[in-house]
Amino acid sequence: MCETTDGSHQHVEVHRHVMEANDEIAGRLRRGFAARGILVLNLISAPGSGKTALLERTLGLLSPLRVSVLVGDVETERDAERLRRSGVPVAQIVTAGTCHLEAAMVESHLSEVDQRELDVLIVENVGNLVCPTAYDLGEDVKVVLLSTTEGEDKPLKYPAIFHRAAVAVLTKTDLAPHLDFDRALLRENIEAVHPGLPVLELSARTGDGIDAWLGWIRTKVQEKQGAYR
Amino acid sequence: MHEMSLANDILAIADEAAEGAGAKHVLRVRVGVGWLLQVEEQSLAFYLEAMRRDYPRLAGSAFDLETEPVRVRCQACGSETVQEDWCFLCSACRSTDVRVVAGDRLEVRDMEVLTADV
Repeated sequence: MCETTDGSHQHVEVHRHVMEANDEIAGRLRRGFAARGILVLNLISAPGSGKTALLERTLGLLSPLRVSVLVGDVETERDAERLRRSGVPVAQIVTAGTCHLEAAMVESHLSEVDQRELDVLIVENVGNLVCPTAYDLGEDVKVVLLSTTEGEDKPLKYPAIFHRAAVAVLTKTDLAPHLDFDRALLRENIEAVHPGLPVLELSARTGDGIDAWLGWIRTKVQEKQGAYR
Repeated sequence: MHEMSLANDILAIADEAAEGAGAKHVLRVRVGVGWLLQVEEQSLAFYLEAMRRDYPRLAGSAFDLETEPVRVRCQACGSETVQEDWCFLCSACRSTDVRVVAGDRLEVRDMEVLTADV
């Protein structure tokens, strides 16, 4: 480990990954979810992209799949209160200043949802496109959301999350006509940082495109449970 | 990025390694900063400087932050190439079927320490 260069001066090899503690917990979570056949989605977007609105629209329609939500926010229980109205178990993770969720926060709130009665666990991360990207929560896939109001260049400005996500969801498509939103340019920009990334376009307000999103989740659950059950 | 919590994790790892090596003072810590993590290095350096006071062994240490470029291995032709920008493709054959093999980690690499009081 150590080689002495002179009397008291030593060179010490360390080679430790700074996020190793988080990754260890994430690995433990992932093994637990796999053993139970639970699909875990990590939803990441800027604040106000419509993560909560999409879930409000989605949760009641996923039956017979059994769904729970962990929702992260810097402060307040407001999102959890909104989501509980859909009747599914919801636990709020208040990070009190931290700009992202970490695996340990997910682990410590898991007891609030009954994993024995679960097919899908949706983790709604803190609204932020940078920090949550680096923290593995034991999820199967990262889902990146962006709304039509944010502009077509978001994938180029925040390439890491678009590169790591397994699907991109364009929200608020009902507003597109008012914004001169260029869908082709958005897809071109996504393709530049993540060739072949599937893009789902929807509006939680009108319900347009929601069926494709529900279908995507159901397919993922089948894949996961086919692999582990 | 969350540079403050990253700085704290770096200091904790360096301090633990220094203790393990029987070090009294850490002179220099080399940290590899993967480009893919989008860490703001100035901010990370600021927090390391500010927070090292909580770790007596690290109070006089310098921190070398070394940006590690993103390297990808091509699944089509097997080449390993450095990525210049966010267009993830193989520089050799232009395939987009590539896997990131370096540049996505933050790592405490090694350190120079003193094992006796100065």
